[in-house]
Amino acid sequence: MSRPGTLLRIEFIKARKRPALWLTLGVFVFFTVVTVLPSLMRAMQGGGPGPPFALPWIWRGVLQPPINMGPFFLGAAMILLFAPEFGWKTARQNVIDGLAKEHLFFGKLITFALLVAAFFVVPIVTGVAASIISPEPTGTFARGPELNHMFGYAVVLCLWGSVGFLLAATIRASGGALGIMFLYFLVENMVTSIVPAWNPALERYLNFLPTQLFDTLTRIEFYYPDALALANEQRAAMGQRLLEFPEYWAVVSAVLAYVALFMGVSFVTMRKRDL
Amino acid sequence: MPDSPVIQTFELSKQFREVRAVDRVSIAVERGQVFGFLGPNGSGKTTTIGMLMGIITPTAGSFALFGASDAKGHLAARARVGATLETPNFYPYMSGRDNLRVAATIKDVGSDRIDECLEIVGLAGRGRHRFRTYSLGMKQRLALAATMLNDPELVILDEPANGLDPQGMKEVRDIIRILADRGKTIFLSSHLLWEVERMCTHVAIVRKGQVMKVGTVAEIVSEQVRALVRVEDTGALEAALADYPDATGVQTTDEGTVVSLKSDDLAGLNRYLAARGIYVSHLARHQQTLEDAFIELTQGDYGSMTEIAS
Ligand SMILES: Nc1ncnc2c1ncn2[C@@H]1O[C@H](COP(=O)(O)OP(=O)(O)O)[C@@H](O)[C@H]1O
Ligand SMILES: [Mg+2]
Repeated sequence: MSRPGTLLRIEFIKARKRPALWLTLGVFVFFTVVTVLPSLMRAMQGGGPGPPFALPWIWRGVLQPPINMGPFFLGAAMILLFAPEFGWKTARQNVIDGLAKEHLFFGKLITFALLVAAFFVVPIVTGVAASIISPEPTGTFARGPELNHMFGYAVVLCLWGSVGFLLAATIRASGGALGIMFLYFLVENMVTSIVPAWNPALERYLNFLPTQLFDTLTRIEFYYPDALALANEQRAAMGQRLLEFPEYWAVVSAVLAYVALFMGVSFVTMRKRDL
Repeated sequence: MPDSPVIQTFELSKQFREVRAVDRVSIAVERGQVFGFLGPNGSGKTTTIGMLMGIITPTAGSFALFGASDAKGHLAARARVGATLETPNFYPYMSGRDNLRVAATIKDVGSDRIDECLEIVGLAGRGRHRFRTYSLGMKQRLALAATMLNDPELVILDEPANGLDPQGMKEVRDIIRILADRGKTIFLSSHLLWEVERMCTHVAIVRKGQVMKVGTVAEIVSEQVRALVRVEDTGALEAALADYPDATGVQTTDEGTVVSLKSDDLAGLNRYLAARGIYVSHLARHQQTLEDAFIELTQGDYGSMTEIAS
């Protein structure tokens, strides 16, 4: 059998009966449905203000909080499916049974890709289903801004997935890796809220830290000019600073660079360290 | 290369930060041997096997498996090996059967082989149960089943009877014997000599990462002349022997004092002792056992001898 086929099969056998995976995915599906339901109910009762709850406008209502927490769930799932292999010494046994250390990396890369696909498909399917149920008139699947939004969401899934991957490959224990992931999230947010007050010139660079990129890519205002105009109108009225974002492709490229970096470091770590 | 050893190591070494776990180990295991890799806890047995299996990178030296000495060759050679390392390493939430399915997929063998192997180790009835519900003995047997999946030419077992009750150890020994009878090469590590001594054709005795002695069991057991001496006052005997030019070693055991001699002259020893006022109650030629050799070579590494003597 070819190696990719072997790797896919063993990852499938391992994941299939892993309660932690189904629990994480289940909680995510639950959040997705809970997010979509109120909007769907409103639409069925005649609709509210703002764009209709139907394709293609539906995406800004689906890919919004708390579904934007999906990447975190993905990072957690990645850690749970990867890190314990060190504690159980099954990574070791897989190599003894005939895999190379590099194969371990590629096996987990397959899991990573499948997780991204799953966490991407859940809100998309939910959105399409909601649109079918919703009585409001349905248009095309997605236009430019919606496609950017979806792609941005997929990219941010990869970002936290690669963070989970890196932490699993280096910390090698799920408790520690999960702890550090959430701690990092908190610390980065603290730093980015304190530092600009102290040195405003640094803010531009801080915007390119992982959590800030994540924040940008999960904001509706980043994708939809009308939403940005509305938000800034309100901010202006309240005397707040207006929202400003970097270029779409600058943000996406920065995230992809992080993903490449984290995966690269993971690969080297996996290859070098003893099991 | 039909004649190349199944395992050959060349000054294989591993340095962990401060610890030199394996220190220039050079051994060769030939086809069909049951090779015992014996040493106290912490003497580097697991680390050595880990290097052979590609999970630990050597810091110096090299090794060949079935004559292959590069990384690619090692990987290919590993398909002809079945091995366990330290504790049985399995997914706790999966059944014994599913765990074997992972190994079987890697080794590219069919699922009928899984059932055969479960049968051989006596786990056929428990294959559907989760690994975490297994007793230690069952876990060890599942590990043995995993090593057998690909019908390997070389079986490497790291402390296979660790933590087993006497019945479990006997079962493990029986399985190893069956494998040996089928002509498999077996490489067995243990810190318990009696666990393996009856099975091994060849032994290496390791201590602090170094091979102290290697060869057939007969070769390991010293050909040196030894005398077993019993006296009233062991202290006086030891003091007297310290000056005896023919004595190369003295070791007092429960049985008496074993004196290693340069020559076969037991009468001379008797005269020497009598001249110093030491009268022996027993003096006889003493054949060293493998256990004696093991204790001698690894002396000082055990707090008490009970672990190997029990
Ligand atoms: N990963 C590691 N890091 C540091 N030291 C280690 C590591 N693994 C083993 N050692 C040390 O190397 C020595 C040999 O260990 P090991 O190969 O497990 O011995 P054995 O299997 O003979 O009991 C011990 O002193 C042990 O503490
Ligand atoms: Mg060991």
